[in-house]
Amino acid sequence: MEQVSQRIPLIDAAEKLTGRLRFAADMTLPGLLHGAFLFSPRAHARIVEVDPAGALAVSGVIGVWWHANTPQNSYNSSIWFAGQKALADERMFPPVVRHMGDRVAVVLAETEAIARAAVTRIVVSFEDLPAILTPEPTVAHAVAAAGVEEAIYPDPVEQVHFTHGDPDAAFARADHVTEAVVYTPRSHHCAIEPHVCVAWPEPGGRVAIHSPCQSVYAVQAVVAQALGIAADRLHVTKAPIGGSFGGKAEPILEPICALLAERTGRPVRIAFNRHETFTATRTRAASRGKMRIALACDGRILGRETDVTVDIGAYCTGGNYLPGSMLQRLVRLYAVPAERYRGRAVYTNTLPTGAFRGYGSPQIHALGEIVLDLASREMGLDPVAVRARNIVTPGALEPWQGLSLGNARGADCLHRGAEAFDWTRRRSAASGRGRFRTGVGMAAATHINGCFPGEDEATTATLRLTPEGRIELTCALHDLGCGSDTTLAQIAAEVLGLRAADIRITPADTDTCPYDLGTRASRMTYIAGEAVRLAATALAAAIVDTGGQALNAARSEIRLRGGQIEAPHRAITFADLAAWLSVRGTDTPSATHTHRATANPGSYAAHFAEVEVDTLTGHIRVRDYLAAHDIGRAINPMLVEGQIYGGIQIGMGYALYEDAAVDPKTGRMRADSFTRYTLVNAPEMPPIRILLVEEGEATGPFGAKAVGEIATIPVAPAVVNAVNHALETRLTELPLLPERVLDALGQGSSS
Amino acid sequence: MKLTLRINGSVVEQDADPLARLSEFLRQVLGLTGLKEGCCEGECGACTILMDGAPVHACLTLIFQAHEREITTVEGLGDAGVLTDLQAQFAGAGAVQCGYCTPGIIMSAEGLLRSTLTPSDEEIRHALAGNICRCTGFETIVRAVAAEAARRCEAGC
Amino acid sequence: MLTALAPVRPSNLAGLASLMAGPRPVHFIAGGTDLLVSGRRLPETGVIVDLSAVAELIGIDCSGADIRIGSATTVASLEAHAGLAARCAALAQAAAECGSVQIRNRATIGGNVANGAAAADLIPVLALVGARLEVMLRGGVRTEIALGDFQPKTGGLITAVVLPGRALLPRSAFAKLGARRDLTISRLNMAATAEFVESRFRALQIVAGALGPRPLRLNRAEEALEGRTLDPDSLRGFMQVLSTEVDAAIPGRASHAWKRRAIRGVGLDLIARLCGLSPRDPVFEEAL
Repeated sequence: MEQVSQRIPLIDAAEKLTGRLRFAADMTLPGLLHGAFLFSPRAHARIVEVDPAGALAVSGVIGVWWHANTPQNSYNSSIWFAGQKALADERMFPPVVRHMGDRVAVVLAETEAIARAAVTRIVVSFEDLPAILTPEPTVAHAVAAAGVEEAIYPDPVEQVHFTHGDPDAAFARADHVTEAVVYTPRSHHCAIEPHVCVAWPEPGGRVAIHSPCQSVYAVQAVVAQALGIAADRLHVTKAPIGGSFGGKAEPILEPICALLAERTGRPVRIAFNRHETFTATRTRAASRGKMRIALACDGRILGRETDVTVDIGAYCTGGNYLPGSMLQRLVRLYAVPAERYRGRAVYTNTLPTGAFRGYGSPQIHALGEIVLDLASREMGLDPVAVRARNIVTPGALEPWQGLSLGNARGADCLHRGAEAFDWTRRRSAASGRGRFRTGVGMAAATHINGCFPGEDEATTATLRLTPEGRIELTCALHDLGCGSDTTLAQIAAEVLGLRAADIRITPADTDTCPYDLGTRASRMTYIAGEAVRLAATALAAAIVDTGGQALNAARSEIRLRGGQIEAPHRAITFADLAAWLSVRGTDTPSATHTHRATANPGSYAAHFAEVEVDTLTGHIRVRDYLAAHDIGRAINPMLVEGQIYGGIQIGMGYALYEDAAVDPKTGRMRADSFTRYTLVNAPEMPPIRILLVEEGEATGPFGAKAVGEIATIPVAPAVVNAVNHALETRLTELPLLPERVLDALGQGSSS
Repeated sequence: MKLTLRINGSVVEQDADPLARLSEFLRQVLGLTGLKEGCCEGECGACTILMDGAPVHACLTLIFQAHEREITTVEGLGDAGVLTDLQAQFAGAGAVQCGYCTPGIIMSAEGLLRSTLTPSDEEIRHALAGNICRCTGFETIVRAVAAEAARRCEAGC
Repeated sequence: MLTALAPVRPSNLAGLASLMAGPRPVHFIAGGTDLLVSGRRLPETGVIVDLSAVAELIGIDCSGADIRIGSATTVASLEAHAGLAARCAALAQAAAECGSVQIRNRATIGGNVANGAAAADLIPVLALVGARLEVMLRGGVRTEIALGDFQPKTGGLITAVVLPGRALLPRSAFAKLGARRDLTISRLNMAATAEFVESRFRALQIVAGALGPRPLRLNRAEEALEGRTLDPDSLRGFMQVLSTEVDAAIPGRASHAWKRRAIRGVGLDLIARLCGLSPRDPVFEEAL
């Protein structure tokens, strides 16, 4: 194939590399106003009074808005279509602030500097309310709820119970039972582009919103709900996005930016700084999970019991989906004949949580894969062998929703990865007895491909030949930087005999693109890719038809190749065909296809890590890494590898450094800057080898499956398992800070 | 206050607040938006420019401190719209994803390659320690810089 | 403009002195890598003086008995200076591990001292060698003071840092530990200087940073190795003493339990570097 399976550079690489791509923060608009927020310094408090006089007195200030002069519609920032049922508990400016960093007021001014200076002159008095700062005490939830007349603190927000088979019988006949509790931290996306939004009035009483987002339609739905207006008054376009990882999936600034543009009749930009992006957007939810596994002496999992609590923070957002999402992922990795699962999502007066690369998967995999590793060690079994014995096989049905897992090639990842890593030899090598100990560990993982069986899992793509002879793809696409636009262009180009660069992709726009769920749930390649492939196939047929007429050749004689429409001994270009049609007053061909998913196969992976631990300082260094991925087929191996490299980087941070914990006494986020929140930088990264298992998935475009989220999911447990191997410890609290490592060695505060 | 600065090979005379950050001036007044403000604390490196050929943070420099210094931004590296060899290496290696940190990384890499002829991978990683990319895992970036170093070495520059 | 602060960029010391003699409050900025970090505010009134163009404040002079370093000399210059590395390796090493390339290209030795952060990387080395500061007071008076006597608020302008030649022993080294390996704030750092006479440590001096607001001289740790050869037994004693030094320095602090152990690792790294060995050399592994 000419395009598929090729290592093609991003179609927008040049604009990015030269700095010419204009992100929302780079735009200039005549008359642009700038907003700056006053955030709550209290974890939970009623706002008694807001006095804006000091801010209004500053020259250049346009106005101040807070709960008393803004719409008080409750909304849920995680919805993705109008009318979606979701607990709507957020307001643009609430009368009762629920967490430090909650929005109290916004100042609009001629410059950002003026707005930021004026914000400090707003005087607010608060009446403190009891705050819940840890997810455990249910009693505290009741107290807090009683203190607020209209606030809703159901506890839990959501719970999911699931039983499959007979877990009690499984534990009764088990040869071995392992139990452990695993903690995963609150973590932050740290996209290098801070949150930003631009809005401006449009004719007809409409407001345009230009936002780096993951779904223009989600933005439209949320803003309409917040402002209490019809969705079609909002014209949302996707701005280039400087990284998201789920952090920009939920509109934060958009409702307020749109409101201010409407109120003032002028363009408005609100740009968070780094501190605000840390403390006033979203994070990945922290979790506490307890798991018991019942095993037979040969390593077969007989049964499993899981109890997980996730702290979703101060607003529901999509946190109520987490217990179900975690269950969905849990049951797709191993064939477990007896399962009992209880998942709860609870409120706290802390920063709300949301999507972050995996949506519950990193948490549930940390739990499942660390505990399974401990079980293997206790039984003296090889962790790869135990996983291979239990991993699902192609065509298996998962027990929760009864879906086929498709061409599930987890076993290939385990076997090929272990062999390439030289697992057996390295696992049995001595870890060392002195200061530096080495160990190897691994973890397996699975992730979904799209939202099926959700009823709205569909993408509509339109491809047309333009009068200039180019191919234009119209679809509400949101490339988050992973290169999904390039991947989709390769798919269309492959079908049409073109190059990826020949496909022009129109930016997502609610006025011109049909509804789409946007970039979420690892659905771009698998769902949107198949929609594009089918639309391209239909367009190719139409071009063959008209090309046949233009060349006076039979359909069967026509080939689309090298940018040309070829018949025996003669050919024309796409531009020639467009011109030929234009002369005849005929429309150029186009094709629209709506692809509705009918399956949700699993992507699989096995990651292998070697670590070195300094037993004096507790510092861990990942020295070598191998990732094997069941990708179906890599449309663009270079971009697939890019996802895996980046996923490993984020996963290493999750395992070793990153913790956006909230101080349980004050409610303040401790690591609220890049100085305090340690990220993996270039010198930390180990050498990485990648193996792609390309066995094809019948329901995916050219056999392709997803890689974006799964790339980061097995990383943390693989690293933790390697450390536990090196030290013979049972470390289960992430991240593995040096203090925790020394504690586990009996050399910390407890010794 | 009237300021005279040398930016991308041109002398720029401009009224500006001399105590504003250089990053704000370059972005907002001159429209050189290739550099980004990612943290304003010298941690992310998205605002990296060359000052007298050496990588520095534009966000931690006041405008008046740039007086009589030669400032180079990503816009000053090549001809408009044409990739430099270094940038072409990045594209070919898959060393760009979302693109937000990319101009800063290009400037750090350019600074390194101007001062070090044959950097090892370790030296490249050390030189890029002050640039956070959250997308790529740095692997392809290191490869692109190494490839460009090798190319320059062969080309004898 | 939101501030009445006036920027000035003198190119020589005379210009600087006359500014300091003037009636307005004078504030200094060199690299700006500490002053301009987000959230910190510039002074509202007075004169802000950029030191980075004052020729007399820039440069490293290793030609005399003492080493004289202009206060506006960048950390990158310290890192790259072969003469400095030969006579005070610890300072070159500390410079190389200070911040990122971008920070080192702007940050200055004078700024590092004047800011006086507990986690500063250069200060422990300067304390180790008994560095003295040349200071210009308001009114242009020049004086020389000990490193520890500098008062950031009232102490005038540091014009140079002088490393006394008699304190520069043949060997010196620096080691640090932060959250990650590169571009990291020191959670602990140490500097040492010594000579070896018949394979024995002589005149060993050790200073630790980030164990309190000021660099801490570790006398007992020095004694544990003084006159001894590099052997596992000596190192074991050394490590034990290091922990007791931490116990005395920061009892009850949240970081105490970790630092009392971690200092052993930094201490071994330091001694390895001082001896030109890898911390993975068997002599260190056997010390555990």
